[in-house]
Amino acid sequence: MPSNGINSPSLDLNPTIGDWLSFTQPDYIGIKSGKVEFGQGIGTALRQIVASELDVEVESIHYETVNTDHSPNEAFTAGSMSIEHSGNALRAAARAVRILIASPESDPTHFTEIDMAINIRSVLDDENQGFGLTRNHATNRSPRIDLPDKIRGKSAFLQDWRLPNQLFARMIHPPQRGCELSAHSPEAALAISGVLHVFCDKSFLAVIARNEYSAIKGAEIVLESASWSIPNSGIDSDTIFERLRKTTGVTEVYAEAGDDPADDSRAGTEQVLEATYSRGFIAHASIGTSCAIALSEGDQLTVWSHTQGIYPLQADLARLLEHRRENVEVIHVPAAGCYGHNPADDVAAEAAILARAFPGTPIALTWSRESELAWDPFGPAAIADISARVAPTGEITSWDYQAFSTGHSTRPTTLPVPAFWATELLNPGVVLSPAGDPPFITGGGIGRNAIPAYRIGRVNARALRCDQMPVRTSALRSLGAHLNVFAIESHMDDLAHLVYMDPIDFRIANLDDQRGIDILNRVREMSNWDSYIPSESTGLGVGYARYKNKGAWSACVAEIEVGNSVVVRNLWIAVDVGQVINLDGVRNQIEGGAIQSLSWALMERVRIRQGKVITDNWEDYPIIRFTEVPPIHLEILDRPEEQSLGSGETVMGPTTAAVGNAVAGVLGIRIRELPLDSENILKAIS
Amino acid sequence: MDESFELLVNGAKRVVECEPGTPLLWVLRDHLELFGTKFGCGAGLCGACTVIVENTAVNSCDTPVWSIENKEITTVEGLSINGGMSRLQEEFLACEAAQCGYCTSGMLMRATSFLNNRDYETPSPTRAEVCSVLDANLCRCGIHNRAIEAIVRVGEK
Repeated sequence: MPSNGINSPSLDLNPTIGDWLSFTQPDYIGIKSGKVEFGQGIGTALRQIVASELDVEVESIHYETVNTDHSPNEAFTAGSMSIEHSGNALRAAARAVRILIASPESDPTHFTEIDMAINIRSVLDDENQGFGLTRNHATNRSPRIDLPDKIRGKSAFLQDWRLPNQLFARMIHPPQRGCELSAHSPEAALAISGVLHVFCDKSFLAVIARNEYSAIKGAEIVLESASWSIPNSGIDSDTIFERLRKTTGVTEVYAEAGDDPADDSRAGTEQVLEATYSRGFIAHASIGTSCAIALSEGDQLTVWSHTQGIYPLQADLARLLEHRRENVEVIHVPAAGCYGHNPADDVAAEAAILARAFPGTPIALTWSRESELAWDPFGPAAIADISARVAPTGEITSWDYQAFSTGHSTRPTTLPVPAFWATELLNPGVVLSPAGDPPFITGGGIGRNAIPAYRIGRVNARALRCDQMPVRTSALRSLGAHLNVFAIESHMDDLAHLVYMDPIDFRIANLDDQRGIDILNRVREMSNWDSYIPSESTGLGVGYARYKNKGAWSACVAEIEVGNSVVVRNLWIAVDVGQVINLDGVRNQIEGGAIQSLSWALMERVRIRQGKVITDNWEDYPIIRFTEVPPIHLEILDRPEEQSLGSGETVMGPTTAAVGNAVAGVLGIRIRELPLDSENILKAIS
Repeated sequence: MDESFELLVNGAKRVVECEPGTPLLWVLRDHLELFGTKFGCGAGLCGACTVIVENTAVNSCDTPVWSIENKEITTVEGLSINGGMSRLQEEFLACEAAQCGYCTSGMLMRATSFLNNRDYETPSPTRAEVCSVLDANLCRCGIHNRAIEAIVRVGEK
């Protein structure tokens, strides 16, 4: 376990000053982090932490490129853990430097004299145990370092990189998973100006061209010529919930209190509420399609990627290509936001396959929109059954939860075979293993927020993780917490109604956690909850959760209007993320998370017919638009004395739950299947 | 067959050799190395590729090059002449109206066209007005309210 009061697994794995900082020349302070920028502003926040510890200007700190050559191995940038992992480690490294130079004022010229091999923990003595909380790191507002270039339209994204002699590729993905390529004709494509090669290996089919548009045209023509054997996996999104309930899998137990001991004193007075909640598959749906550049030179393979995990990608590329891991370098370059495990790793593997076939030439591969939406490792479809009992006093006496879901990770290194679509395309008969889950202790997958944070007499919580699902699923922002919080908070509202209590009163009455109570009270005031007058078509709903039951607290109130569809008119959010490193950064993450959650709640579902994903464009897979976005009224509680907690995923569950509760209030009917669109509302009414 | 086209991009005359059907997006990216205009869907459905042609915001991914010959084209690079920023870009930066920033240039172009075409006698733009203009631009990070704020600030009387 960590010593010296510093809680960072990243520091355990990368213990020296040189693992985290570099002072290669006077006036240069470089920070090395394994956490990557994808628009969440992590580079800015980490710079602020180090600047504050070293007492230097933020502008003098450089956030170095994240690559497998010199960056610390921090596995994935995921789970809202970057401030806790990388932030704590960098803070410790910087504080150790301060102690070593033993000078009251920092002089950058002293930094170069430091022995970079020194173990950070050995420098920080016991008096630094309360570390992280002694100094105010939060300048609260530090402009994002990456934004000016993006706003100017400079080449800030991997899609814009051009290496000397670079060629451009497009994949021709099969119509659906499991297809085998039986024939194709390259001639017509090769006749197009700029098209150089049609690459085919088993079912792996791609076009390589001198420029991107030629690659796109070439791929369209090769697709027309291709024929495939099409398996029928029998997967249909309309029957996915029945299928999840029936399939085999791995049972995970999160809480086991056993059966209800007969309690005669309450017999006959308690009410039981049983219900099933569900969500379909959801796509990551980045606005920029996934891309990678790969270059093979001699023994060396270099891959530029927007992956969330440079080291896991390196390891699985080495396995896929049967390459020495040391000879694979992965360099992170920002691209569009990913919101979890999107196809970033898959496209990197495909680019690497092509680069190996054309040594010496950098190959840039960008996916089509159709591939991006159809070949995404989707956020899982899932069901949660809840049975709970409430006493007339409002006391919740028991809670039984059973979920059925696929797992939340098919990330690189988590499967027995290299976790890429390319593995299947190149090896007929090989199928990627079913998705697994992060351990429950570190936040879990299906089990994330499965246990209500309320005071409950007896809790049983378990899940069946399906191992027979021909739809690939992986991590999507907040993992299982999205459905679980929707389910729990919907159930809480219905329990409150059974005992004639106000939903917020009912929650507060069943909470022991003062910080949770504080934010519920706050959002109640902000939204004028107590004086709000609903109409036939408008109303309020509340949602609350502590993310992972150990992270940030958030409470949300939604005002909705139901006409032809559900319209969210206002959203009030109160959040407690402990000490705030960058206030505007946190606000941006919370606002963005809430809007994405509204999109999931109101309209998103992947549709699959006989194994084929048919929602492969923005008309069939709509996401929220400007006219559908409400004003957001947000307050971040000031907790400078508390540990900083991640913010990016915390509101996904509570926002959807608040909308669900508001809809139930207005309609008088509970919609338990997401999304809350007219299709599911009509289904619930009939 | 490739043909020669004369274009007026960000005030400069440019000549490209390509097929008449080549979308403007790819003329900008492949031929002119102007990478600020983004590919998002190739079907005119997401707005990431928005540019201004003769004062009108268009999706460059479904605008063939033959249709815009000798017309005045402005891309995001044309907003920041001499390294400066337009008023709208400054407000986007001040509001941090971007997370990943991939959809930003498309939004900037659509909003610039909207602001340029407004009659100065009309009142400041409303939230609803701005939203209906930007409805053609998708954003996945959820910076909508910040973009609205930035645009309204510029349009304020």
